[in-house]
Amino acid sequence: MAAKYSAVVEKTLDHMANMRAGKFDLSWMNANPDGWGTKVKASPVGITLDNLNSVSPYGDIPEYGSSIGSMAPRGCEIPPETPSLGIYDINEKGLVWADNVAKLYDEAVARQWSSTRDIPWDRLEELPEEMEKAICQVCTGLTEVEFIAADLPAKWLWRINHDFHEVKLFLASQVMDEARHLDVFRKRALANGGGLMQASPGSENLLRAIIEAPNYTVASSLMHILAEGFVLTLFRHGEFIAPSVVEKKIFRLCMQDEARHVAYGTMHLKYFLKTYPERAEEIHSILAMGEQAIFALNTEPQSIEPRAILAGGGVDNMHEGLLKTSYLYTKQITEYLQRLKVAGLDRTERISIPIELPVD
Amino acid sequence: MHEFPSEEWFVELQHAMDAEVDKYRRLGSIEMTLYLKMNFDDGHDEVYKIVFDGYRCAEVKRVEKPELGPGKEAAVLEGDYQTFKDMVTDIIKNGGAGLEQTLNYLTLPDVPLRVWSEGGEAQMDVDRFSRFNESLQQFFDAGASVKTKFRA
Repeated sequence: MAAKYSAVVEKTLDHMANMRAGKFDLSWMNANPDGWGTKVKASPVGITLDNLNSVSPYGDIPEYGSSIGSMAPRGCEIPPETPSLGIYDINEKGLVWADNVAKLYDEAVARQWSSTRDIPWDRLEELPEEMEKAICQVCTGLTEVEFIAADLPAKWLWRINHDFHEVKLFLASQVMDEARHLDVFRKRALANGGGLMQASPGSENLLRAIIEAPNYTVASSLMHILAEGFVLTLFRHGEFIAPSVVEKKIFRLCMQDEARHVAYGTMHLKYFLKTYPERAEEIHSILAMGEQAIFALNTEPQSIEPRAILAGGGVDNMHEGLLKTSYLYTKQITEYLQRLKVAGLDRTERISIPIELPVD
Repeated sequence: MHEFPSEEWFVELQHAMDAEVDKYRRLGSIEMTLYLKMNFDDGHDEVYKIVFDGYRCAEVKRVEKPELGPGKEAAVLEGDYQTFKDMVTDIIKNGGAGLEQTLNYLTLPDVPLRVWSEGGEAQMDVDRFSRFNESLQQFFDAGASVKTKFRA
């Protein structure tokens, strides 16, 4: 007669029978003696990842992630029969790490906000149609580009070895940040009598380069440092030209998130280049390509014209608006080059696009 | 009545932050030191050090000069006294910074105020100004409730 249950179920039922008879295993209670007795001290803001990482063995971050290839948490005892999932292929610390990543994750969690609750939507003001169209076009463009910064970390996150959970946690927080950005810009476009305007072919070219980047660090350099660095300045400019306190608040909250992502990308590239200095040329060449894509995007009508309208105060004053915003591009380039210098990559002489926008 | 600028005036902002722990906890922790460097018409300058740590302002002090560089997590907000005075006047008048008197508005083009730092990771410290901008804005907006007299 065939067994009623599978072997796995039968084994479990046997185990339960033992427990009913008072025979418990309890071997797990003797596991991981080196990790027992840990008492992490909380900082004034609570227990942070850095607090956890200040104690051994839990804070001992390996240069090469566990070859077990399971989801077992770093620092626990791993029974020999634990199966490998065989899915993690980013196993070297130098490929993902940044010395500020733990701190940035805690910062990200502490600084989450809600596009529903934290924006004073009741204070939106009716705008002249051309101004409303301009702000809606800005929001359309930002809605389009924001989610690449969620798709990209999501594409790589699941491949990263669990021993580098700090990086995985930070990237997860970034996915949430970007979701909120898409959400808040879409809300703004639809909340004040306007609507979504025109998508940007230029954006799609840059986004394709980012999403198709051949490895994580190349992708991170393109997105965290180049693209998000540029967008950080655009958020700051969004706050600058905001027609009401509503847009002011949106852009201030978004800029905080974006600056965190840039901070991770910069320090990751620094760690990467310290570990693999011979790979600097790989980063140079992808950035040269990315610079050209972002230059084309920056000067596309859907991108530059609505900002000129908002800065000038209307279509009739667009040229004045353009002159008023010309410093922005130079600022983007200057800060981008400075961040690369922090990371140990000097592109001052190698930058592939103009360092000033010819608007005069 | 507290004179602007003075250590006492900024201590009032510190007390205001301490009194609203829940608000700042919701905004998120801040890890940075901001130096305000005000340049006066007569050629002298004054530097005020404001240390943010977690959800609170840990220290306010008038100092000789900013201490910048690796590990300091510090940036300088510099400009003419008149610009700072206009900003605080606007905050008092409106109960918070108006559209053209926010910290970001005044600093983005690097005029009339400028954010800067020094050392090999200076840009990272300048970027802290963006990372904590909403908290910093709310910190300064609390100046609306400080009884203020401006220096002549």
